[in-house]
Amino acid sequence: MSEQEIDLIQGTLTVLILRTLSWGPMNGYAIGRWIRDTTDGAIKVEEGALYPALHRMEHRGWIEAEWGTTENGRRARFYSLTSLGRRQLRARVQGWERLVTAMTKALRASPRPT
Amino acid sequence: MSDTRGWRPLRRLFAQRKTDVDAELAYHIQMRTEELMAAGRTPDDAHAEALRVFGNVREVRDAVWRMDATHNARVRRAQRWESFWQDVRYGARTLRKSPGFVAAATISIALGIAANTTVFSMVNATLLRTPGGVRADGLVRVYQNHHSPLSFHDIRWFRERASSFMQIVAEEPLPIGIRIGAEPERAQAAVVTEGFFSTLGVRMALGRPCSGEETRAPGSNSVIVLSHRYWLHRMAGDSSVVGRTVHLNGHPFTVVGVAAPEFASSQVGWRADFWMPIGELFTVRGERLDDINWSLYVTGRLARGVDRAQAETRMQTLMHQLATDEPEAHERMDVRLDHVRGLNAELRAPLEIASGLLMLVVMVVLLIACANVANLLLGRGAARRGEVAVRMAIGAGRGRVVRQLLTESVMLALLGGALGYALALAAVSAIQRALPPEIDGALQVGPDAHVLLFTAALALITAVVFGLAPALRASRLSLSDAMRIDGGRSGTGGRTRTGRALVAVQVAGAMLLLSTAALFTRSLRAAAGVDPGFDARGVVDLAVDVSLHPGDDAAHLAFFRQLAERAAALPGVRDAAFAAVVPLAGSNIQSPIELPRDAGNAGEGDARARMPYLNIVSPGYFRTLRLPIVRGREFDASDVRGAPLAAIVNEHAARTLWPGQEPIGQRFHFAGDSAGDYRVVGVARDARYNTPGEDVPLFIYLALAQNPRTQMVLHVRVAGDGETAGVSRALRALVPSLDPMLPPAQVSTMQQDMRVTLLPARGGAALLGAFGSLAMLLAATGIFGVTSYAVAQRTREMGIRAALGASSRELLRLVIGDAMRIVAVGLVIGVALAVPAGLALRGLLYGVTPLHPITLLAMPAALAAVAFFASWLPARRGARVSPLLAMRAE
Repeated sequence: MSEQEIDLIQGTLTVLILRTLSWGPMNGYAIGRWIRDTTDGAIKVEEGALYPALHRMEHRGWIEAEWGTTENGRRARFYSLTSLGRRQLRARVQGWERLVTAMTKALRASPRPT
Repeated sequence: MSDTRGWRPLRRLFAQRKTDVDAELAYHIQMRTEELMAAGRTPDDAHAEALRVFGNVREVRDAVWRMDATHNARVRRAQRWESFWQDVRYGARTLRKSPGFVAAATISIALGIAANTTVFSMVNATLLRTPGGVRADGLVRVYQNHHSPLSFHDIRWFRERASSFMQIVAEEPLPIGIRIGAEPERAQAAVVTEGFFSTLGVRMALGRPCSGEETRAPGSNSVIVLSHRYWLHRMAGDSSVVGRTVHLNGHPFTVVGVAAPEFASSQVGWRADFWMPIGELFTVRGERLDDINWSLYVTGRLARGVDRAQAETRMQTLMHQLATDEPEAHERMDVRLDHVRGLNAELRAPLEIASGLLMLVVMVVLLIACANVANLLLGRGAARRGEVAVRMAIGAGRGRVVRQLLTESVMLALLGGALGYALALAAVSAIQRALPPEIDGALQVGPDAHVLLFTAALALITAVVFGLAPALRASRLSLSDAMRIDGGRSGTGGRTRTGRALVAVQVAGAMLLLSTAALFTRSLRAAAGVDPGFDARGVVDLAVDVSLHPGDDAAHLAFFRQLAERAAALPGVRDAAFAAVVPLAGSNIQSPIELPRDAGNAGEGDARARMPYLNIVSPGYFRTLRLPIVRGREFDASDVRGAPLAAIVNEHAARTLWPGQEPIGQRFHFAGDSAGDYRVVGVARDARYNTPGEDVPLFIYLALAQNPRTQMVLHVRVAGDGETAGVSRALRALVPSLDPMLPPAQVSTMQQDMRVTLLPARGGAALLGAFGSLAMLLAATGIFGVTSYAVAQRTREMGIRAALGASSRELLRLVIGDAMRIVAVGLVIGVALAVPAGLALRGLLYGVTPLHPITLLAMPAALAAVAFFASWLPARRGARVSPLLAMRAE
């Protein structure tokens, strides 16, 4: 598994956070855990990096934050997507897919007949 | 929660926002620890692992803090800006809805600010500006004995020794005859020392500066640099002027350059038409460099890194050395370095006082204008209670409301400021046009950055002065108060009280200005009626400059003698005599003298007591002016060059210099003068020489034949109660008939010439009168406004009174009486202020006591009459109201 770890490309974390929040409000710890679980640990986020990213996104107006209570009764800061964030997510997912398609095509191509 | 304990001290240390971040991170680590514990780790192990996968906690926390702080700051800025714009837009909308109010307020402010800006422009031109066209930083003025110019000898002496810390140049103005082509005329020249233009940093518009090397023989460096203005006016800006030959006092000089348009002189308040090397003074006037005594105005450029105080200390050391080396010419002399802002130090001191007073006056006018606007705003505030209440009800804080109202005030003030600035520009250019031609171009009265800044700052201060109180008042209402059905009626007592206080302030200010104006007017009349000690009526003055007349002093003297004889022979002329100075006409000559007994015990006695004023006159002078000789004789044909030097002193000098002794035959000499002793031959009656109100100074008359000059005034006494017009015409033709090459002489009556001394009083009376009237007008508007408001508020009360049988006359008395009570308070305060003001101005007033009863009664009476009228107009409206209508008005 460790040899397949993928370095976090800049911007990837942002898309992942946006994606995670598209299911509903979530606190920072839960977001980190969700990313860990859904990518089977393939994408390793240094958990601390999550927070500067979250606050930056909040300042840009893509997500909103609010203090709330977790199911086990603890106070935590919950983030949720704004409409601006939703648009961001759409645009980034599309961009990502285009990139993947292009990369896949390029990597599978056979040499041109001469 | 043992794992979060370490954070607690930090939580206490930092503000809420930071603890929020801390809590967020703490929650994460805690949850992660629990997750790992659930997977079977020990608590310590789990916590360590949670921290490890998190990364550097401190770094993350700091990064997030910084991000949040920057973001919050940006958000706050944007919000402030947004709310500011909102206020501006809202204010503009509100103001547009009441053009009448805006016009009244704007005009009030504009008048107040225009007065201030105009006066400040003059202060700026005379006291604050550095000479135009020079690099002013590092420049200093060098004086001896506080504010006096230096001799060439001393300049050269200092220049050689001070070069390590200061470059020294000097300039001296002198009128000179110039001929360009055929027409001779008088021009204002200046001689300059070596390196004058380069040291000051003056740019040349054309050609090169005159280098002015003083070692060259006179006549070998006959070049001049024209001023830009002279070049434009006299040579139509001819670009081929460089290399042209002009004649100065008949001697050919070559134009080598034209100075930059901004440069007029090294001294503020001077203007030269052209500059010539100082060494050429011999060519045009026969003066050697070492003859130039205490008439050179010196400017120094400090070396880099040297400040004025250091340079002054070093110059004083040098001065000390000079006084030791050459004691006779330099005893009791010191040296002083001054900044280059404004006029020369000697002119600045009296001007500073006058400017301060004038600024004070216009500030009072502005204060009255502010009171007016504040009153208008208070009225509006009452009308806008509903609006303010609604804004506060929907959540606007009091600060927010005050800010909104102040924004409106600032907009009004800026509007008024802009209009005032425009008015001031017009006023300043009018003043500029009225300036005598000698000063025109020498003083830059036009606006600069200082003036603009002053006006803008004033407008903002004004906005706070008139806007703050009404804004605070308007925002102080409680919701229930404002929403009450008769909200318009409650709390008006307060508005009226403040309004009345403001009116009292206005009346007091107007009273202060008007009574001061009255003092100046009375002083003017008293001064005009004073006996100067001679008889100026029926005397015509002819200003003659013979420097263009060929020949030496003897030839000039012969010319003067011939002119006086021809003038005396004219029909209708009784006497004619020359004088260098016309008394009470704004100019004087002063020179220190020493008595024989002073020798050997120098330092004894007051130096000022040895500083007489001088005049140089021809035989017949005392007879012509009807100034009696009380002892001895008048100058006559025997007082010529070679004969013993003769002097006539006034009675005061005779008494002061030789107390208890026979003055005739006493001797004195001028300090530093090698000509020798003067012998007193006569004593003239004391007269007024400089100002009508002065304490009689020491005064000495010298004989023209023994002290030759090229510029003199011929006093011509007309026979009988004579008509001066015909004689004036004949006199004008006299000079050209003797020498057609001389420029035409100026003819005026002596009384016209003497008007100059009354200028300060005349100016003071005119300015204070104008500003006082303006203040009165503003105060009257204020009274009108307050009374109108009171009438409107009391319509119902008056209706009831009318219904109960009060006559309209009684109602009138009620309203006017109310207004006049405030006016009375204002008048009392005004008089109380006017008395100390008058006492403070005693030095400027002549022959009036500041406690003059008529002034102190007449002015309040006049003001009261105006106030009565201003309150009568609206009161009449109120008294006419029909009881029925008034009751229904609710």
